[in-house]
Amino acid sequence: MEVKEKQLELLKKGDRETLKQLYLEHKAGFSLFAKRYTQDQFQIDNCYQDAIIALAENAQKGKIETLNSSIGTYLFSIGKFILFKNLKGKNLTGQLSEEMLETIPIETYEEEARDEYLLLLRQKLSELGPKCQEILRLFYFQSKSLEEICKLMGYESKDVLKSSKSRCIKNLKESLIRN
Amino acid sequence: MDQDELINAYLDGKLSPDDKRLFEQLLQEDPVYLQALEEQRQIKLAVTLEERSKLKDFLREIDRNEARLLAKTNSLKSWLFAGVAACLIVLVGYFLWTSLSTTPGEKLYQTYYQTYPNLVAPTVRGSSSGGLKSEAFLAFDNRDYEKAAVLFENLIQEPNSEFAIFYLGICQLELGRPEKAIPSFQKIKENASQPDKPTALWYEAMGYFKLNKLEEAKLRIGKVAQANGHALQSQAQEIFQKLE
Repeated sequence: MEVKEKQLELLKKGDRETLKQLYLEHKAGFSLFAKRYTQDQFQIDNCYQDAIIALAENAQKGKIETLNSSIGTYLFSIGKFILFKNLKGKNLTGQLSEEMLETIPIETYEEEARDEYLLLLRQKLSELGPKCQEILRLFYFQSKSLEEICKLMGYESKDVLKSSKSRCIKNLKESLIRN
Repeated sequence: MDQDELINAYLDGKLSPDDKRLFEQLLQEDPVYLQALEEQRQIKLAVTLEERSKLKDFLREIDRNEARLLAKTNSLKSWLFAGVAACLIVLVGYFLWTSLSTTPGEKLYQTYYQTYPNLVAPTVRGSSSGGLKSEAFLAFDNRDYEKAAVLFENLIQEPNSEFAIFYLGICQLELGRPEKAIPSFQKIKENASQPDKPTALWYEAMGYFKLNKLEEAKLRIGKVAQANGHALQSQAQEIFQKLE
């Protein structure tokens, strides 16, 4: 197996060490590239971090099946996309090719991130027990099937997992009502 | 596929076009589905944003660690640099000091000078038969040349004390005062025996070397070199050749 495939496999599993390696490997290069458009180092770093997060998310969600290019190239494309979106005043998004916009699915949820109800929901979510958090993370973030989660977390059957998951969501809803 | 899985797949855009159409039809017909969709969409969003924020913290932590590591290696590097620089300065300084401050005479002095031993009154442990003489040599043997010099000076007045003049000269040389030592050695008579004249000449020459008066020194060394059978002859010849 090639290094690229190995790394991609590990990324899909949510391996943080691989993510760290990739993060450090391409940080300086992206920064150099981004400096052509802005001198704001904080903004550059921020965009780069968001690109890494998008890479991790897409890999875990199974949105990257195979890559024609290297992981680095993919990462740069996302970084470029996020950077150009951030530099709104400069109308740089026009420079992004149609193909790129289609192949790199990233939802930034900028407005939702400021939504008060959602902020409360996130707070309550972080107050759930570790098992509940893991089930919800695997199901909603990694988009794993119930069967896969059963195997990953060692549940006896899908039904046990399903009732656990329902209880977690019930608890979450109740804590919201109490608030 | 379970209902939640169906909704999740729809939200992920993973349904086939046919399934998608069917599902959207279901949403229009049954408000319960619509409500379930909205509920799950919110949870999915919250989980996603929460996960992103955790990853962001993770990446920031990497940056902080890298910065700390960089600062550490930098400070280590600068300490190393400072250390190496300090060592170099000391070495270069020592080299310059020794090579610039040592005159040729001084070099010869350092090479050939040796403290003349006490051959007159060996200090005997436990003997208290003191007197000025043994006091003086006791101080001399203890390398207390300042005290010994004063005592030898007083001894000079006494009879049979030519040795006192000679040892006074040695004390002055030891104390780094060749200009005071030279007159002492000059006072040693030709027929002296404790020690003899060539030895006095040798030490007189040493005084001149210390002062870097090479010609004066050479004159004395030449005489020692001619003292046949003298213990210092061969060394004197060696120096004489160097000075030629």
